[in-house]
Amino acid sequence: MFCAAVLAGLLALAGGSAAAETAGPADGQPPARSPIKVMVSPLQTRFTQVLGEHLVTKYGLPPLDLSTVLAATASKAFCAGTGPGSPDVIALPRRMAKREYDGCVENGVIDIIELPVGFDALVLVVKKGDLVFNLTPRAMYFALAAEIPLEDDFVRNDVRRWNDLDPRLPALDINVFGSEAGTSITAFFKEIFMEGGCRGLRQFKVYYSSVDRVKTCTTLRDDGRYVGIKPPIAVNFKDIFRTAPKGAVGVVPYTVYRHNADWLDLLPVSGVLPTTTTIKDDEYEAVTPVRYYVKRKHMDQRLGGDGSVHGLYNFIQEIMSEDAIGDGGYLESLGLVVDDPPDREHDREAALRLQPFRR
Amino acid sequence: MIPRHRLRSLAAALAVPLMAGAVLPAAAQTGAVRPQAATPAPEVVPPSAVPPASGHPAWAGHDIQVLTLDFADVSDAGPVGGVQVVRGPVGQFFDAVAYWADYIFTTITRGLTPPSPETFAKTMRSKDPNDFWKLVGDAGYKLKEISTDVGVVPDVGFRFKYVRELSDGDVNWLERKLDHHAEKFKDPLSVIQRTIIYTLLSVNSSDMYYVDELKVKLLPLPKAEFSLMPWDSGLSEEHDTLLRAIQGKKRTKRKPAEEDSHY
Repeated sequence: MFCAAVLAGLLALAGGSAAAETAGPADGQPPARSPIKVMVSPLQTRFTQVLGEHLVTKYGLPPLDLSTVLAATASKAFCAGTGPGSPDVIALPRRMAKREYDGCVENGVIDIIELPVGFDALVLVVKKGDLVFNLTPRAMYFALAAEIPLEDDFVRNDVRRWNDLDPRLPALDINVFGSEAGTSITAFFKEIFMEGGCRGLRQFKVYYSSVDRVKTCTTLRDDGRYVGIKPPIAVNFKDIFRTAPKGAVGVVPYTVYRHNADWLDLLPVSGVLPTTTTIKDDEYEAVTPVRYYVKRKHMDQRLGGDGSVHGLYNFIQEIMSEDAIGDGGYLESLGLVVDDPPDREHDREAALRLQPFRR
Repeated sequence: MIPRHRLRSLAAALAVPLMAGAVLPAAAQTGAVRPQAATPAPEVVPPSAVPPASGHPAWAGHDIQVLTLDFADVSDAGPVGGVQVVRGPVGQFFDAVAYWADYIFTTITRGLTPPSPETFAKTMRSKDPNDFWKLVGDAGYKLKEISTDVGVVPDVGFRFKYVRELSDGDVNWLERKLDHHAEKFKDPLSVIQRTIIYTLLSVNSSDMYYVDELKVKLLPLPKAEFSLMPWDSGLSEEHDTLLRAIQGKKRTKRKPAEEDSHY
């Protein structure tokens, strides 16, 4: 907070305002463009929309230019370079990977500000009153894969009940309801549960090529055991899952569960129940840390940028404020799992200081 | 000035134990002790019955019992047969020197000789998820060779070969594991280990090169060697032959230069 105050004071002395960036680019430079161009993965769309509304009312900025794409696509576009064609901000459901960061540096995107906003997770749910049992990625893989290994060969998966996989699992038919193919939620589900389930299996260790291995691991069975729900899952899941057979398992973001907690129960994954604590501490397996990344190069010139985009510092101020990510903040009310106050304070100071992100 | 007759007595008194100490180190191994002087060997007696000092006057005043044992007697009487072999101080000194020399040499040799490959192979089968060797395996590498050298400067090395491409999901999973590793293990060795893994991931994610072999040496000084290969390197002759066999193609023989020549 002290550093933020010092920075605000310096800006005020320079004739600017911490409340709204008013300085434009230097003479001869094109005017700062707005709105801010943001690329997000579907899991962060709602958060970013609400954030944008607050930027409009509080700072008088125009609505965000928001695109929803896969995380890998957003990261690739962000790291392709600087300039008007590239996004100013991206939101990822994970930390930016080292190879992505190296790609950014190679293309001249060097001053990146990381904004650790909070956490989300992909959870398994059943209807209240149904049996609650522990599932692992290995069990999900063997339950839902189109082909499963048997000895040294792969055979068509005709497993019908959970206890066919493991006698400790209940004698219930396998029925899983998740997002339809091609969505970020399904991509994340396949990465954590299907790929995670087949990782380490002897039959897959002989595969050199990751393409062949991933294809065999993640192809879902098409006999009705897995039902894909069309997006938006937050709306459609409720109607479809209420009529699902007894013992059906749903795969949804934690934010969706929190808005339907009155009729859903959570299932533990590998013995860990997803709670705000286990999600924050990264104990739960399917956690997605919500991170925003901002290009400093596009910020105001007084802040080390080229002055090409208007309002980026206000974006940082708003998203890291207690109104947004504090206890009871509007992002938490949308289902975001926020960090502990000391960690939030530390991250806020680093962000307002425009501390560069290193990987 | 010491009188001559006293010097002679003193020399005689010192000579016997010196000679006994010189002879005993070699003879003591077998338990057989043969006195230098040609005196009749005394009978084997139990320690409780200590014969009075007798024989050569040089023994006078020295409580040294020198006994001669036949091997037959030893076998009949057991390992030592209750007979105590007493060494002189010089003999004991030489024994101690021999013992410590052997101990130091053995310790140094053991220290200079690296453990056997089996020892390392056992540690590499550890179930600890944060074990370095497991992280190398998670990065797509498999142990191909352990080399050890015995010498004044010993050498221990491990050679890993790239055997499995990592998918994006594998990389994300491994990076998350490394983040947990960084939170849990902050010592310099762990930092170096993570740097090695990050280097592998970073190079292998590039479009141009990948790390075909990783060599980790523990002795004489720890180091890691990365052998980079271009992704689009050509096939070796052996692999080309295999590919042609699979495809059912015959290898076109190259004509001798004279037949090709138009000059």
